[in-house]
Amino acid sequence: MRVGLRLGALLILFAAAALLLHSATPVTGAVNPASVYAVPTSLGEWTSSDGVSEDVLPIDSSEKISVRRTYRHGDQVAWVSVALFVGQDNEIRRASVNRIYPARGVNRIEPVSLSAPLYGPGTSPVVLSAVVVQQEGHRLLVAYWNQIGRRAFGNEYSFRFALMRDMVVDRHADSMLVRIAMPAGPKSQLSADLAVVQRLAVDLYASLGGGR
Amino acid sequence: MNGVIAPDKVAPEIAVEVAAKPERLAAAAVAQPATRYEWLALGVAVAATVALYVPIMIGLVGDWTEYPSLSHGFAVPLISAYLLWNRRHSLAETPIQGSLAGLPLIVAALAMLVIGSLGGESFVARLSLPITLVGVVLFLMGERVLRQAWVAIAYLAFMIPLPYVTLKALTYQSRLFDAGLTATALGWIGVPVLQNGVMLQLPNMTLEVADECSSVPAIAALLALGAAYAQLQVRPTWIRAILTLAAAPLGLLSNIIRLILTSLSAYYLGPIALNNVIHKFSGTSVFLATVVLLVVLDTFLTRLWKRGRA
Repeated sequence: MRVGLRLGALLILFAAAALLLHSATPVTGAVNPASVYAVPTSLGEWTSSDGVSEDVLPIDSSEKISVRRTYRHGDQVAWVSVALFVGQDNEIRRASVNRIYPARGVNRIEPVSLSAPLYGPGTSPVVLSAVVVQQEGHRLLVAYWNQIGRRAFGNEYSFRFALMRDMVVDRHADSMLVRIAMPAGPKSQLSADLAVVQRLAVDLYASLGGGR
Repeated sequence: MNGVIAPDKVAPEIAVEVAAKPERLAAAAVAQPATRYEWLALGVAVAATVALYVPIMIGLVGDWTEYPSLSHGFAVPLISAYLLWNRRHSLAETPIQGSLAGLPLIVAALAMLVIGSLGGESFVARLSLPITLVGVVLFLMGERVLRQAWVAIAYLAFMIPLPYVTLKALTYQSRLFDAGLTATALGWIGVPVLQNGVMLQLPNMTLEVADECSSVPAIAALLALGAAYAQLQVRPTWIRAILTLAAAPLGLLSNIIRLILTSLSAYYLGPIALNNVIHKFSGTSVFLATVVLLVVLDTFLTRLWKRGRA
């Protein structure tokens, strides 16, 4: 094939790509924001009040809406935040990774292993992201997952891949970040703390399950 | 017969080889250095690529401007252009023979561009740029030209920031690692220090190895520096490889030395030490120290090589 023909073929391919890029309308809408408001006032034996301190679960400026509740059961306390996001990877959204758990005055962030049977008993458990944030004088256990409709993602890369697929194929860009935090005891109590968070995660996911 | 073998006496596999040779010779004869018309075609293709990637480039420039740790991105296209310019004579003499193997590469790269752009994943879209360029050169000019140009094209990858999620995780691990090494070194020097995660507790104050103090943001810049430095002079490939790969650990070493110096000055002088030049211009000081270490390593390796040859 002569160079002229090759160049022609190349320019046609480039034009097709440019046409695709420019004809696609940006995906900005949220499909089902209602599920964010499905955060219940009680989770099993836990009852709640509005609001969570920003020192415990930071507020992300790029979230569209969020519901933040403090749950209590006896002398135990847990904080829950469910936030709706639209899109990914713009300049503001990129910094969201810094706003999942407290970052100021933190000595150590230890990833811990946590999975929960979110899709019901007998189904394979979803591996969630969880960390113990060690600050001056106290430890905080934060578990979180991203959710698109009913699909929960503990792995950030799987979530981003799924969202990319949704944006390209289904033209949806909305997702929820669900966070559960509670004071963590010493290391010997970690498995008990994780069990509490696991039960809360299952109940919370069941309440939020009204997505598409 | 004076050593000449009659064709009917040749073993079948040798006969195939003999028969294939004229075709290869003919192909070699067809491949000529590029004419002006062919260079013009490549120029048009590269210009079209740049035009297609304008929105991506705008995003990249925005990142280079906003984040000081990514500001080396401005230098990368220039160094890449220099690397090509350095090879201009051999490129001019290289026979061209466009290869259809470039076409699937271009299609795959354009798919990455479209999916990454529409799917809001800028890393995927950005990464498609050097792949598109490789495809264009292979498709229009062929494998031999690509062999001359691939280093300059691949070098462009250094201008693309890693996904923030990856960078964040690496940065935290690096902070822990840097704090651990600094605390160990301070202990050896005789400075009492207690490491608590990323915090270094000195008797008079507590220091935090913050995101900005981590070695990771500088690693991409230092790898780019090492790769460019290695290409500057004619060197054996093994020295080039070592210099390219050594930039990252040398950068890490420079950063640890900077952290130790900062901690020492904080211990002996107090908080005023945190306002010193080395700490304030941390990126620059690590960069300069790495350049010095690279030059030292280069001198050592070159002497070793010359001694080996002698």
